[in-house]
Amino acid sequence: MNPILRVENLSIEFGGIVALNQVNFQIPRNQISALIGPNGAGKTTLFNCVTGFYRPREGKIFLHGARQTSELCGLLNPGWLSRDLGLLQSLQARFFGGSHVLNHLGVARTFQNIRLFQQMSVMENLLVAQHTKLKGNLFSGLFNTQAYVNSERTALEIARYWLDFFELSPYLNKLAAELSYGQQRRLEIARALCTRPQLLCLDEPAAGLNPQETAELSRLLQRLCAQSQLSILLIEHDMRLVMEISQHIIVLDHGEVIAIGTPAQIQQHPQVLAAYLGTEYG
Amino acid sequence: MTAYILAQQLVNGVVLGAIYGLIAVGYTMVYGIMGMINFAHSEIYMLSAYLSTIVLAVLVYWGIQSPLVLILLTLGVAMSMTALYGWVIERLAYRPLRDAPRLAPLISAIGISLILQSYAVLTQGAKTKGIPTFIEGVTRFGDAVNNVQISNIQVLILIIALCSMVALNFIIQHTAFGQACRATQQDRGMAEILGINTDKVISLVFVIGSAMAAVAGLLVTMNYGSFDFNIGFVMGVKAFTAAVLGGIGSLTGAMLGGIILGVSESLFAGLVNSDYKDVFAFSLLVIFLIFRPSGLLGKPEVEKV
Repeated sequence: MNPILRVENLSIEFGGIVALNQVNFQIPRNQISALIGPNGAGKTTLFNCVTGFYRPREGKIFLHGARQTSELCGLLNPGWLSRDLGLLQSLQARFFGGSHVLNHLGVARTFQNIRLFQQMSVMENLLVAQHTKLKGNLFSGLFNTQAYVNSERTALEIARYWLDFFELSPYLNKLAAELSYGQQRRLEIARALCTRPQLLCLDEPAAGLNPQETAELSRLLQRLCAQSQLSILLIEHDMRLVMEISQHIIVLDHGEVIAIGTPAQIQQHPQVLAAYLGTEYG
Repeated sequence: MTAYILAQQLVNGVVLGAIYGLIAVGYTMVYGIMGMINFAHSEIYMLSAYLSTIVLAVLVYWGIQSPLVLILLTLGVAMSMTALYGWVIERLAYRPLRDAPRLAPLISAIGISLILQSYAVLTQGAKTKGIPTFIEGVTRFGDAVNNVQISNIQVLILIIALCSMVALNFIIQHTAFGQACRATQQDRGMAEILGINTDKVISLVFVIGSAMAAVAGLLVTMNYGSFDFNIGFVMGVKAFTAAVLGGIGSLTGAMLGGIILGVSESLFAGLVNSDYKDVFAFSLLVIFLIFRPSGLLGKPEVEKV
C-alpha cells in the first residue's frame, strides 16, 4: 500500500480519560477511507489530531504528500527552521502557533456542524479559502500587479469548477446563510477543496441530510475520488453510506483500533459486530 | 433666525460626526474581529494630534508653504507612525492574551491607555498645545446677521473623512484582504484552517484602525487648534458611543452612528443647552441600548453553541 497518511502510536488523554490509545493505521492514496465506531470512540479526537487542533501526548502523524513527507504534529510546535515550512513560516508558527500552516501542506477538513462564513456570498466563501494562494499582499491587491491578477484568475476558475461540480453554480451570488442545509454541506466540501488539498477530512458529511441528499452526496464523493488526485478520510454514522462508498474502513472503539479492512471484511469482523454493528444490524 | 441656527448646527454636527465616525471605525473593526473593546484606541488619536503638530512644525520650518502639501505630508507621516503604534500595542498587549478570559485584554487595554497618556505628559508636558490655523477662509450663506458659515477647514475635513471612509469600505468589501478580514470576523478558527494567517489579519486591522484615528487627530487639531494629553478620553467615549449606536462590528454602522451622534449633539447644543450636550449624547446611547441593543445596523448577537 502506498499510503497518504500514516498514524503511528498515537495517544492522547484528557484529564485521565484515555481518548486515543496507541492508535496505528494508514490511509491509502486516492481512495475513500472511513473512520467508524460507536459514540465516544475517539473519532473526532483523531481528526483533531490529524488537522492540528490537538497535540497528542505520544505518537506521530505523517503526511506523504506528492512532493514531500511532512510530520503533522511537529508543525504546531516546530523548531526554528522546519524543513516542511521554510524559515519564515517556521518562525511564524514558532512564535504564534497556528493551524493555518497545516493547510499549506495539503490537509483540509469540514466539521460536524456547518461552519461556513454565513454572511458572505457562496463565491466569496470559495475565494477566501484560496487567500493564501494569491500572489502578493494587500498592496499588490490594491494596485493589481500582473502576478496577482493571474493568481486571482486561477482562484476564480477553481472556484467555478467546484461550484459546477457540486451543482451550486446557480447560487454563486447568494449568501451562504440563504442556502438549504444540503447545499450548505456541499458548499462546505467545495470550500475545503478550494484550498487544493491532497487529503480531505470530512466529519460526518451526511449528518442531517435526508435520504435523497445523502444519495446525492454519495454519488458526488465517489465521482470526486475517481476524477481527482485526492484521498478522502471521513467519519460517518450512516452505515449504508460508509459501506457504499469507502474502499477502506478503520474501526475505533474506546480509543483503540479494533479492525481495519474492506467493507466486506468489516461487516464480518466479530469484534466489530460485537462493539458496534451487532447492536445495529442484530 | 432659528432656521439659521439649525442649519449652522447641522453643518457643525456633520463635521463633528465625520470625526467621530473616523475614530469609531477603529473601535468597531477591533470589536468585530476580536470581540474586545480597545480602550487604547482613543490614546492613539491623542498621540496623532501631537505627532501631526510636530510634523507640521518641522515641515513649516523646512519652508513648505502650500497647505495641501503640508496636510498630505503630515497625514502620511502621522498615519504611518500611529499605524506603527497600533501594531506594537497589539503585539505587546493583546496577542499574548489571545486565549485568555475576555476581561484580561480589557484590563491590558486600560493599562496601555494610561501608559500612553503618561508618555505624552512626560515627553510633551501637561500644558495645552496648539497650532495656528493655516487654512483661512469662510463661505457664508445669507446676510450679515442671519447666515450659515462653512469654513474651508470644515469642507476639507468632510472631504478627507469621506475619502478615508470610501477607501476603507472598498478595502473591506472588495479586496482579498477584506475578504480574509470578514472571514476572520465570522469564524476565526475556520479561517485559520483554510490557511488564512489570522494573526496577520488582526495586526492589519489594528494598523488600519490606528491610521484612521490619525486622520481624525490631524483634522481635529486643524479645526480646533488646541489639544492636551487628555483629549482622548471624551473623544474615545463619544466615538465608542457612535460605534454602539451604529451597531458595533458594522463598518457602515460606525460611520452612520458618528454622523447621527454629531448632528444630534450639535443640534441639542444649539437649540437647547450647550452645557448638557454630553449628557444628551449619552442619554441617547442609553435609550438606544434599551430599545435596540444591537444598534442601527448591527445584528443581534446569537449565542454560539
